[in-house]
Amino acid sequence: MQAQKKRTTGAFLLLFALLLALLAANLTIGSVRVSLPELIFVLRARGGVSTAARIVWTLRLPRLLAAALLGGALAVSGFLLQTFFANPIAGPFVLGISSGAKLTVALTLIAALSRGRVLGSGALIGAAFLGSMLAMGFILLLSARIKRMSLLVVCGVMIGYIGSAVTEFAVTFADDQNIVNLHNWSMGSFSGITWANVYVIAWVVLAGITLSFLLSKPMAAYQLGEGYAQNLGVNLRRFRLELILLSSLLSACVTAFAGPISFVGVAAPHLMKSLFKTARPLVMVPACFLGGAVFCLFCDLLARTVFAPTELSISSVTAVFGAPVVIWMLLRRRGD
Amino acid sequence: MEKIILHTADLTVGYGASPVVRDIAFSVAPGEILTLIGPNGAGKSTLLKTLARQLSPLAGTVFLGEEALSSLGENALAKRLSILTTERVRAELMCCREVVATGRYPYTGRLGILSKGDAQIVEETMALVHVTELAGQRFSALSDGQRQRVMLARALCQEPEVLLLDEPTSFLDVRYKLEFLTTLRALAKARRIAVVMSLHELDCAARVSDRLLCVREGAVDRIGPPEILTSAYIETLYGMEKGSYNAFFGAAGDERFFQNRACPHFPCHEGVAEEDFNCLFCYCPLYALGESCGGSFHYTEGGVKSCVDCALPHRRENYEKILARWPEIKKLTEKKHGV
Repeated sequence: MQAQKKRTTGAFLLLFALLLALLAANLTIGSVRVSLPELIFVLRARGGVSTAARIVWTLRLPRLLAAALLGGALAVSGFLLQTFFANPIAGPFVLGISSGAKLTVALTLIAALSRGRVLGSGALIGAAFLGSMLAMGFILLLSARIKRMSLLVVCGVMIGYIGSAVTEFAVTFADDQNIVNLHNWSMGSFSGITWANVYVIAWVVLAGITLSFLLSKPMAAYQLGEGYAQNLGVNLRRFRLELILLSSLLSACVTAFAGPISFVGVAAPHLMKSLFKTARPLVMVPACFLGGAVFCLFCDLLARTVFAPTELSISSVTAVFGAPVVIWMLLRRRGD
Repeated sequence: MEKIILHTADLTVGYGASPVVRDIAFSVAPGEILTLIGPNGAGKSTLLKTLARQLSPLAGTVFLGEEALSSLGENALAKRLSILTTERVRAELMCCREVVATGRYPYTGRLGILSKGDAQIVEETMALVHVTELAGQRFSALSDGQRQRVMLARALCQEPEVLLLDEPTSFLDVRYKLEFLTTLRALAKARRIAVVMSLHELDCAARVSDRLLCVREGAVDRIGPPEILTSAYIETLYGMEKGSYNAFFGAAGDERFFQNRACPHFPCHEGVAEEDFNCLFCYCPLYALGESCGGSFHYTEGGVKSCVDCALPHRRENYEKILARWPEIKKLTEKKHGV
């Protein structure tokens, strides 16, 4: 008990340290290098007239805040889905929920752009949420018929492919000028995030995470098994609905602003479970949020800098680090 | 009659539109152990699930105390009734103490954080079921026997009035079976918990239970003390060929008839060696013969015949002699019951 407490405290401290280090790194490193004193000056003055100040304040800061918040949201969304399906490889990307959101957002964007309108954040999140819920609805319909989890994951991957295929199809027939933007977005990227976006993201994500945290108790009971959760006083129907709505909302928010981002939802919770040596939701929800934030900040730093000035899609970087983690975890788990 | 904690009225259980067991009526008192027996697929688990409110009854009502089960709130029910099922427990990265502690959830606040009092109850319950030394171990690393004891501690942590167990001894070897059932019985008596469980092992069921409820062909066939479980009845209940049970397990009498120590008339035969009477009182074919049974006896205060010795103790070599007097016994019995 005591050892576990120490471990939890230590792991949280480590995560906070990593988060701070990555925040600083993301602000200073890039095509224009900013020194630490300069950075502190810019942050205190909340902007400035110099090139460095403008880069830090209008480009890097909103981008890294978005990366941190959305990465955390993805990880928590993954953790919720893993709890719901009692399956460690469930996640918004694996189950096709991200692709569902991507499809509706792409269609909405094309429709709006062809009429020369610009969509607000709210409309984007709404479209993504609708897509997430559609994909989730499919998965739930299937899960009523398919009891085997592995088959359900296969179905999720299929739904993901269908969503991506229809998106590609729509993008092909969109106006030329839209394609570049849409293509970038549909690959996943944190670039082009504005301060206005960040405010919306912060509200939605922080609300989602808080509500998830408040579900810690029924989640812990549900982790034992449905029958036991019911016996411990959990209203299963309501709890499942809450879990689905929250996980869809969180992943929809990510897809709306940064496109589909792979593997964070599966890899980050796994890494956190083995770091904290527990699966208690009370610890895991904040841990996943921090872990996902750290993971995405790290990946975004690489996406921006490795082949600068060419920027990589965030999804390919998260896949490079996320996929091996998942495989490694699965192998190690076998041996346990 | 003692207060009843759980009872059913005209209960029909099943899935969807198809009833599995009809017209179930039984009651359980605090501290009593009622065991459901019957062939596979008879509906024992279905009945238990209905009692735990995991299934809605197709007809009739389950009452917990005075209240209908369906009228209770989720948390109120969780504080009064707990379960131990065959559902595989997913206890990812959990140590035994954490698994046991989940039993306190109905008593905790919004975030499920245990109070000092809760933590103490967890420790006490673990000590009671003798799993204290497993507290820090990973649940997934335990043997089946240890797991089942931890799960019993978890269920008891809920401080229930009613405990439902679905085949709790299925995966246990004989030593753990005995250990588990002995602990269960002692706790049920000490804490006045009403226990309803299903068991496949008839010998265990007869020894641990106060009453048996036999489910056969979609209905409750018999409810009564363990003595109702004769080898002939076992054959009927499980649809076996006549004589096959005795052929395999040996003749009834050596182990199949039990002394019901909870019987209000126990001990009823001071003078007879225990192995000779084996609850002869309830089964004594000579009882109706009164004075002419051949043994000496006196009547107790309750008006029960208490044998001092027996002319024809319950032994195989005496069966012939008893059968020889059968017509006489039959006539007297019929006269007594007014047939």
